[in-house]
Amino acid sequence: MTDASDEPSAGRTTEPSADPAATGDDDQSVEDLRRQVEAKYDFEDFSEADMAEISPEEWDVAFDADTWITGDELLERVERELKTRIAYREVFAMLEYAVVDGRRSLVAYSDTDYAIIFPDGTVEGRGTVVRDVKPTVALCSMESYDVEEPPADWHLPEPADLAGEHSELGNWMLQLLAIAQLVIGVVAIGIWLVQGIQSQLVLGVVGVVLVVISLVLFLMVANARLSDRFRTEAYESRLRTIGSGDRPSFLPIDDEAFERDAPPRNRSPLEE
Amino acid sequence: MSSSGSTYGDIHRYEPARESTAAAIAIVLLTFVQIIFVSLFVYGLSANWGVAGLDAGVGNTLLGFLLSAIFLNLGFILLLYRKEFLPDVMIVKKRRRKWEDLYVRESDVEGQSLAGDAGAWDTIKRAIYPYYKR
Repeated sequence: MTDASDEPSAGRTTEPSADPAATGDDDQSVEDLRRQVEAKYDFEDFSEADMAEISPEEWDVAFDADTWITGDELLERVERELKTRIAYREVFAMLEYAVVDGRRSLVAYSDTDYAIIFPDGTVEGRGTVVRDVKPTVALCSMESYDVEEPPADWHLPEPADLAGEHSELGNWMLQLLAIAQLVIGVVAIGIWLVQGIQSQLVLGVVGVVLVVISLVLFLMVANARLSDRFRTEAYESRLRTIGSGDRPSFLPIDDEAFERDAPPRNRSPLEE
Repeated sequence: MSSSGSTYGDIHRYEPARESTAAAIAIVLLTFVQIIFVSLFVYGLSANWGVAGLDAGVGNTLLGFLLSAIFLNLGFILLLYRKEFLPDVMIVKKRRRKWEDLYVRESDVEGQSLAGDAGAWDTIKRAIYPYYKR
């Protein structure tokens, strides 16, 4: 993964230096080295052993910057891809453009971590967002990868939308089933005691099993309800933090560097 | 959101339950069928259906069918419940090292061929005779 994002920057080493004579010499030796490298390694079948053997200089020479998409086109592709992934809720992040170190870069941040994607394909940042973004950048820098078109409403959901109605039908049905089985189980145990403990032994066992199943069902529903409440709360607070109108303080970028004055509320960012 | 600096346990995705109409109808029907089956099974046991001498053994088959139907039905109810009536939640977890992270090399992904470089017969010789030429 890191390989792919490092490669575009590696391509810059072949940029000409200021002295024309030296440049000519450099070009010559680079050409020579490139020919050697191509004779030495089979790039169609490049294995782990080759990777261990190849030196950084050889790697730089063999790297062809034109085979990778970089620059603004890369950022645009990454933006579209990330929007799609945010729409599918695979990535939890906000997207904005900012000028970092004099370069226009894409910044993805959530409430706890961030990633800065530079036009040359390097990714900086920390946490989950970086892990989510890195493969995206690698894919988007490949010509053969088709970026999916994001849906119009790709944003993270509004915190208010979450509290929407959701029926309790499933929970009620499971509780109904649990009550019914509990009653039937108790009845079965009663019949077993009345009709004869030895002759109706199976009935007693069935009763106990039914009671156990009903308790398990009750437990399941209780757990689902409780964890659902906490999870909704946690997710809502996360969404509220990210859309509160302030950029998180851990971002190493000044507010002036961003292309927009205020951080976008969920409905507005990057909408041209 | 976590306060300790770690993001483990943060909720990455929360999609409310789908609760389609078909699933709602299905889970209601299955629940009632389940209750009927369970009560029938208990009634059958208490009425001695399972004792072969009384009815040529047909009752035993019926009880067996009921028992299996009860469990199958319960399985489908739980399946529907989990799929349609619980939210789709994804939380941040730590990925633990797996066996393949530690012991499988990239070059061995395809496994190793039995024949090797020198052919299958050579491999067998090497396996049965430890001092065979290296």
